[in-house]
Amino acid sequence: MKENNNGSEILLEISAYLTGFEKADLLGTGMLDPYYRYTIKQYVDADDAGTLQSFLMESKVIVEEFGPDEDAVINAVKARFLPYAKFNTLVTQLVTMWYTGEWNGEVISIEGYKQGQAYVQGLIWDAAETHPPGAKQPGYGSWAKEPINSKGNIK
Amino acid sequence: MKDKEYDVVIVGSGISGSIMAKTLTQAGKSVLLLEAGLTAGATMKSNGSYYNYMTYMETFFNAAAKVPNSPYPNLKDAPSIDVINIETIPSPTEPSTKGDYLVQAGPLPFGSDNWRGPGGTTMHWLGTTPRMLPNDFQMKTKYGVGVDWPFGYDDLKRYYEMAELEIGVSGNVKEQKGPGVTKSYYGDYDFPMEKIPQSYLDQVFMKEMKKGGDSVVKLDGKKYKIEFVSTPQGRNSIPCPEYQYRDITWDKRRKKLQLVRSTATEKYKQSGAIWSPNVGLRCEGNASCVPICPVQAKYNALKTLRKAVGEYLDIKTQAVASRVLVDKKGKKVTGIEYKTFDTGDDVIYNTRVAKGKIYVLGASAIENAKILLASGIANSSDQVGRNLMDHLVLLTWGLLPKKAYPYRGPGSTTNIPTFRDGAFRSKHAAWISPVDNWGWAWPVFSPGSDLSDALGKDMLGKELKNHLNHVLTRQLLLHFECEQTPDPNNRITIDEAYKDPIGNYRPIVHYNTNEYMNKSFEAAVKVSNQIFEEANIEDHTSYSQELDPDYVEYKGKGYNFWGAGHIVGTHRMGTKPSNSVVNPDQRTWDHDNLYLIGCGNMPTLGTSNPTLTMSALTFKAAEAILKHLDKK
Repeated sequence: MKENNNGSEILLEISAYLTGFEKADLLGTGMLDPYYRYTIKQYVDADDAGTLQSFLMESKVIVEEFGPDEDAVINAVKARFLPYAKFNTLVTQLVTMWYTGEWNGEVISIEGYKQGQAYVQGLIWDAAETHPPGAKQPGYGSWAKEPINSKGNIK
Repeated sequence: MKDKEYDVVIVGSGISGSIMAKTLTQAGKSVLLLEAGLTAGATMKSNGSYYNYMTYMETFFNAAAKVPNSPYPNLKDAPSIDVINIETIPSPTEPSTKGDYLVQAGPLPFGSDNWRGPGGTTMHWLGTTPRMLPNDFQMKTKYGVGVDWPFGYDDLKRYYEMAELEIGVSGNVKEQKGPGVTKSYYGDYDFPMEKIPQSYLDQVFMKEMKKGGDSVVKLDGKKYKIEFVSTPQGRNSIPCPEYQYRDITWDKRRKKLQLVRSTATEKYKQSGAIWSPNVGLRCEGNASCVPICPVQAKYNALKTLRKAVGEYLDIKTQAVASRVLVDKKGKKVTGIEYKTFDTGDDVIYNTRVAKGKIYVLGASAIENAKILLASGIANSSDQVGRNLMDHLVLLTWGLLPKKAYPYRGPGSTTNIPTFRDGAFRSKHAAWISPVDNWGWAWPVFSPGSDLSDALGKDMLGKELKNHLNHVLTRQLLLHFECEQTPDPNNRITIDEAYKDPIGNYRPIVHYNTNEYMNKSFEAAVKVSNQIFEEANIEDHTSYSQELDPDYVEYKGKGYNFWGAGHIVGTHRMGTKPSNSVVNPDQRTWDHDNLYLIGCGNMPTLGTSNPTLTMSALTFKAAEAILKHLDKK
């Protein structure tokens, strides 16, 4: 595996573990680049770029050490990040961003990107086996059947 | 245009104003329509209306709280009430003024809102269209509660058929049942379109309920069979081949509005989006009906306004009606004073007067009352502003034993009509119970709150994703939409101390529940508990002041209720000038050439979402106005 020093690559890698989604799912939102830039801007604007940098560096270490074992990576995240308020907040913000497109309760808006895409690309709707209200509509009568590709009521 | 005298001046381009404008212009009458909202929202040109609607969509996507008014402009010069501002009333002497428009004097906050703009509140309505039941029109006679209407269900029936045509109702007549629904209720009749398919969630829930045969609940020692009915709704599906009508027309000779029958070549055709007749011909399952249907498959009043005859209609937008002017004797209305502005947040405005033979206020129950109070007219009965009503929606929520996949389809496709009527109405309110298709979004802001709760428990990765999948796919929300009865103290007033930036009054609302309502909350929870037990639903309902400021305690238990957006009753219709503001034609008793339209006329609410009934009433009023004009 080639050495990975690219910040957005690391963000993608650790986000897949944190969210429980595949990297392909995250890439499929089209939001990796804007989210990476948005996250940097939040931390730079708050004069706290160091926290984000430390997080990405440590994430790289964790993934290299424990990946691809998902449980082991998550356990390391829980041990190394969550006890510290700043990192705990960052983990929560990243997961919330991927799931809902929001940051501190506001829908993320990025210059140069279509307005509202952050909401539309929220993964929480995928987790619920549905689509964001008002977008990606599944068609007439679709709601009367199980969702396509549903895993159904398997115990 | 300033000096032109129209046959009729109408205030408001919501569903009542649009039905009026369409009906009158199609009969060849000249109409001026005043609308407070922005010009862009009223354009009927394809490019303009599409562009404008997409700005609504974008605003909706970007809104942190996707509340009913979130997609739509809120103008300083014509502000809208917004549920986002609802808070506990600070004290009896200190009203809540959050949002700088509605002043909430309490003791409980009023829980509903509307939108002041082109198309009115039909832009964000859900679209549910049950008719009222025959007994709903005779509450005083049958149950000793509230008042009777000045006419009965049968008198309104043909107007209901007009309203169902205009709105474009999808539904199945044969499936309608429950108390009061007899063979003659709809008669030999079909809805314009086939029923909207009932959701997978409805089917899972119904199956869980019927495991042991009929589902029966007990209330006050009486047994009630729980029934499920597909809900009629103003949302395009597939035209019903058996549907008989295609249009509504004024029969000058018989002085009646008539439904026009379909022929072999001319049949009913559903209305598509304003920007394209081929968009929105069927619901596409966007699951965002409230606050906005992206394809306009859901009815909105602009569809009706578009059918008005252009050569007879002038629309004046960015024109806020402030007062109705009357002659020296105070009998005849001589004009409507309105204020115009260039941009919605401008403090500069011009005052003008619109002139017509007849005047019609269709600005919403709250705005109509406000304008009348500001004008000091039509109030010899002292009923203007009083008897404000809404459905008080008690919600209960839980997890189904199986995945049912909510957050899909229209907001509700099935309802339980069992408690819409019965002897219990002498003791507590009746209710209708829609089954909600959108999870626990309303009471607890799911799915966002489920995510933050899980993150608060340090869930991450697959554990988090699986947890959300497990919870979000099984959420069930039931409504108990309880009929509020008329109370003169639930009312709209005005005060010099509260005015908007262009000098119009801000409405002040005084609001409370009573024993009759609170007892229905107690009864509804008893019913809900039995339903949840039978369907093996894990109850997660929990009420508190913190959850929602509309919180009441009754017999030692607390209940929350939410507003339904069904704002009704501020200028009631009645049998005589002493007990009501308008007569059965919806003309004010005090002024021969002033009519009021909209939900404000409704003497009582029943358990139906009021828009269909109000639309039927508006056709009745339009017929009266056409008769009135032809007399001259």
